[in-house]
Amino acid sequence: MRYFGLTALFAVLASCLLQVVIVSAYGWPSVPWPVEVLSHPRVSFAEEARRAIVYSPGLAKSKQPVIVIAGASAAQEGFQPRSMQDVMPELLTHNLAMGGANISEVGQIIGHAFKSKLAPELINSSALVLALSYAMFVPDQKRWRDPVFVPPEAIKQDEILTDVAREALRCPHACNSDSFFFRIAPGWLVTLAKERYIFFQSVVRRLPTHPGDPLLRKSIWKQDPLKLHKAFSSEKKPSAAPPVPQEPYLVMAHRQMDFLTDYMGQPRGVLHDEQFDKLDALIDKVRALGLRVVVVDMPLPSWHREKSPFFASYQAKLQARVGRHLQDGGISFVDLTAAIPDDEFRDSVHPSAEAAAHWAGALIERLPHPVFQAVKGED
Amino acid sequence: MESFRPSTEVFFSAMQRMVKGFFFVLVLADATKHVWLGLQDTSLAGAYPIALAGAQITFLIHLFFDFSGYMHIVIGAAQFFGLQLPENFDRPWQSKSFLEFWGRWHMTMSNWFKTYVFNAVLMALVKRWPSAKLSDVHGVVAFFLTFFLVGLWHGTTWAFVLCGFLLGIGASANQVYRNVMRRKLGKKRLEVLSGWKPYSMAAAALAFTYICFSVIPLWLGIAQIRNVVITYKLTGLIAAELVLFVFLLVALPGVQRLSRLWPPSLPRLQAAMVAGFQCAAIDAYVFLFPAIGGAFFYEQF
Repeated sequence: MRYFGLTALFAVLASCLLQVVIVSAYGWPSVPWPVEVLSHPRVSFAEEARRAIVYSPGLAKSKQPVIVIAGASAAQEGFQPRSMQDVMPELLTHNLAMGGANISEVGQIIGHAFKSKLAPELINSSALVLALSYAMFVPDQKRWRDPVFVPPEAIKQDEILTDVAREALRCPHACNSDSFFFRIAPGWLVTLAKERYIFFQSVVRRLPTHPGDPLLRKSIWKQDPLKLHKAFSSEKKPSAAPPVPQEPYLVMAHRQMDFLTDYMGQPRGVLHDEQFDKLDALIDKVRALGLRVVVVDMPLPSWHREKSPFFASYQAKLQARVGRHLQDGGISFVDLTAAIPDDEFRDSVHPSAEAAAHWAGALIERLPHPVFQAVKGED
Repeated sequence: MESFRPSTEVFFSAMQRMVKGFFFVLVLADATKHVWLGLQDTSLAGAYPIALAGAQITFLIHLFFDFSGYMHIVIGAAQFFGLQLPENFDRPWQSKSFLEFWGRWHMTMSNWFKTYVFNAVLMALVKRWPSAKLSDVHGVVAFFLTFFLVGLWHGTTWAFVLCGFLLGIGASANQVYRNVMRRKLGKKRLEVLSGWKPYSMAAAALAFTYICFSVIPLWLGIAQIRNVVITYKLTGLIAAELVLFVFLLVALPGVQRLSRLWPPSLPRLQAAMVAGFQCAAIDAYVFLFPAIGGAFFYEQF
């Protein structure tokens, strides 16, 4: 048995040594507080998924009631913790919204976030804000099998791999909310198991996708062995392309809305029940944890609301689903669809940088009274 | 059957083998597979002899880590249940000839072919033409047939027929060379020559170059091979094999020295240290470079 113990000890020591090397190269890892999935500057969906997995257990460390934002990129940019704090400095907002998320992925992130439970005295006065828009109801088969968004090797798999599930392959037990370990282990153990990956987090972004990539990129592979000197001679770099003039806002925004329409799949204007069912289940799950749920219908520019073939059916379906929960009194509904003027959008869905504080203010104004008061620390 | 008495010693040895296997498969085989596939794509995109040489050697390295890694896992798992499975690899990089390589690589298969094909063919030839003068020819023919069947064992398409043919040519050429040299120099002088470092280095590099060349049909289909031949022409193919030969001439002695320095079994404390390092390396590698797919290469044969 002694040597099994020694093997484990050496594994831990080697792991620690590696972390020492990482820290000396990249510094001590900085974990955003309040927790935020969006990186500044924004890097990639994969980076956001990693941050959601690795940083979300930090929520349990909150000492005051919290608002947790879950949703997609519009919520990520509109309700950034710093914009929320600009509006109300006492507010502690954790933003776990992920670019391009549909409801399935939001469910996975929530699973990570609330694996470690908040302190019991904070649960009743904290809230989960589910910031929704029609694009989040794209079916899994379309969203996670579209070669525009998902690398081909991920599409070949039998299962649906969201960005979060794909990033969870890095640490298949602690980071995968569907794994046996994740389901049976207590929250503190899962958090502990994830803890060391915080060190790797700073390295991943600087690494190639695969260790062999730098070798493959060498120009030597395409050289003629008889004329190898060419590989070492300096090549004239092509001159930089002239800057492309910026598109007018409406042209760009309409093109983006057309893209969104294609993104939602066929038939045009029809939203499937799959993601609405998942929304129902998600709300029930969060309510079972004792948290208040605030469903927010996210802002859209007026022309987008009028022209999108999906918007009307989305609103009708959302009202029907949310209505059931509203009758129970366990959730609140905030309608922001028309609350933001068109000139505060930088495209067809996202806020302009200057408007983020106004978006945050619009949400805080409409938050249900008990949550708002609790977060302000007045209850 | 003798009853199996589990001991911590056996369990430790089994665990150590399995960790080594996982390290080979998850870290080393994955890293080399990506490079091999990348170079394969480049080599098929045009006439790039260096890329073709790189693809050949990285394929063999990948195959070694993948196959031997799985063998470590299987042998380790069997040890847990008191089963002692035969070894399948005996440091193949130490080989100095084509035939020696096949005595160290996939040994269970080589031994089976030796017992049931090579010996049987040799016996049949000796019985049919029982002349001492023909003994060298008997050996060469038996080697060709055996290795031709080794190629066919991997699959039944034309690519594997070609592979078997190339392997058969390699084995019989190796045997002819051995016979001729023995006859010209005598056994003692041949041994002295084989011990001479520059000769043995060149022989090993040549053997590995041919091995890499002869297993090309394991990773390229017959249509792709035809395209390669048309695109590269004879000069391009010779250039690729020359690049590979020069590379192996430089790299192989270092690998062989390293392999000699690393003892086949380590004292337990050192073994625990190595296994611990491998666990940490697997954990870090899988996090930093997660593989989405990736099945055992030999599954397809």
